[in-house]
Amino acid sequence: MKKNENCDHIKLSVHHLDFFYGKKQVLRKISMDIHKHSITALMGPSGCGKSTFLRVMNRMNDLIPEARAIGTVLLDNEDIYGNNTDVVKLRQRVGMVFQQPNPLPKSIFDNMAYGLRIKGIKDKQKIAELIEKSLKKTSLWGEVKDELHKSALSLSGGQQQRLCIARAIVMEPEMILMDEPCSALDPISTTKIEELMKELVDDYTIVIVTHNMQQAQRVSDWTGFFYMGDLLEFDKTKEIFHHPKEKKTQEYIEGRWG
Amino acid sequence: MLTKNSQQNIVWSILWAITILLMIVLLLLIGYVFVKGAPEMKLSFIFGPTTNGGLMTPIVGTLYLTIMTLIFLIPLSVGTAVYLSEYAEQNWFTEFVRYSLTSLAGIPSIIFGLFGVALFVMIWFKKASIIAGSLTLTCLSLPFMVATTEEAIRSIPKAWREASYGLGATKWYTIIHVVLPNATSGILTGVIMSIGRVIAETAPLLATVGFSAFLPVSPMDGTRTLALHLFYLATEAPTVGGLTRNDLLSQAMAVGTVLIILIILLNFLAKLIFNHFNQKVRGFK
Repeated sequence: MKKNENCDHIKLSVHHLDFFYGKKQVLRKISMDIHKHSITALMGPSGCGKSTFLRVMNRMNDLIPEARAIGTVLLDNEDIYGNNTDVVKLRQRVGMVFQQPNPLPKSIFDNMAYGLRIKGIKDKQKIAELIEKSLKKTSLWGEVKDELHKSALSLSGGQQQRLCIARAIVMEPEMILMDEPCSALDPISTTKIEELMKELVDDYTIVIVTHNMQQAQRVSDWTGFFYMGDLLEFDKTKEIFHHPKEKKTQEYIEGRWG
Repeated sequence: MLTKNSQQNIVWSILWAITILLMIVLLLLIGYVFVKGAPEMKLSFIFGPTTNGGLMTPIVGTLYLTIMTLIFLIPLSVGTAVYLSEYAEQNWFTEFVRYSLTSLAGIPSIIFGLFGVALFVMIWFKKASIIAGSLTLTCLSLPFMVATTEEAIRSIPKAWREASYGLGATKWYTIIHVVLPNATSGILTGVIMSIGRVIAETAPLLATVGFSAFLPVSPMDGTRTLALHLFYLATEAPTVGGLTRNDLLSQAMAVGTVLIILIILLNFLAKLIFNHFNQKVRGFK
């Protein structure tokens, strides 16, 4: 099933990353390799730095004044914190889905076309085709194809989140970052999104932050366990859940805290 | 002791009475102006040339001045507000700018008039003119407009900005396509209030626009607004043009009527534009 498990190509490689908000250090010496066409889950208690780490990968933290990253983050062997990185291009290559579904207050169509227009695609025919393709991929097409010009805010929470995923993949990114994408959704919507992730992993590299251990176990190939700004353990998901090496990891998995 | 229920009823009654009283005052005021002005409300008076005592020049002048003021006011205030809320770092300089704006808001409008005379009339344009008047009114309305616009920009949810940045948008693209379109309703509220102010003000316009009775053509021409015309009628010596004080007063009331109708019309128009934007922004066409 997880045919890419043994693929040893690295998509993104983080090495000795320290991260600060002002003087406060929130990540310490993190090193992690993200494998191509795999789902990597980042797990850990609240405030452990997993979301910050996710946002390092497309430099969304740049928006926070006083945020500072030290270390190397290589995307296809290019340092994304290097001087000649184009952040706009980086975010087009590394898409993001947020915790709360955040469609823009525009029509479904305009939400989907937003990034394409930024990319400079003007051909209306092409835009429409790409949008249809992505909406089909997220199996939203059947539900919205007759109301593309209705407000995206009129969709249900689960539909909104699938729209946000469709909006990310219409950009044809290489990686998709998901920050607890199901935490605001009901179980049925959650299942749909998990199934979607398993389909998408054939084309993309996915990193997901999750609070939910069952979810990490269900969808991910690799799991990283964060605790108080440290990456305590990083291994194949099966290893982490069946043979954790750290005591803290084991306790967390067994639900003794967190 | 009163029961909780009768306490409620008493408070409710008092509040209700205050509200009704306010409405009565408003209706009396508007009613008085309308009734007193009614005999003079003839088309020949409203649209007649001002050199013959008609209102053509004040009506055109008021609209001209309003539009000119908005042309200066909107870009300046939106630009300042975008800079302050999106680009500027929070430091002593932005604090100072904000403090200056708050102080400006508290300065009496006649002082703006003096400033307008000193700079726009005496140094820049060398004459009382629409452009001098509109620049003066721009200075006057700027603090309020910047504050309302900033407020509107700050109320845009962070999630929308993140969505935009996450798709590779630059800050500027986000401002143009997400922030400003969704701040339009707030900005328009500011615009409506400013229009009201432009129409109502006299003090800053006395010496910057003048009293010219001729129809203005270029922005360099002087004119008079309805409020100025009203002031003129109410204070003019009764012998001029063979009119009695009573004639002039009822003319002033008629001007007041036109002024009130104009404000209501402009507010209505602004509301229409506002609704149009609002629907467009929310994706319902």
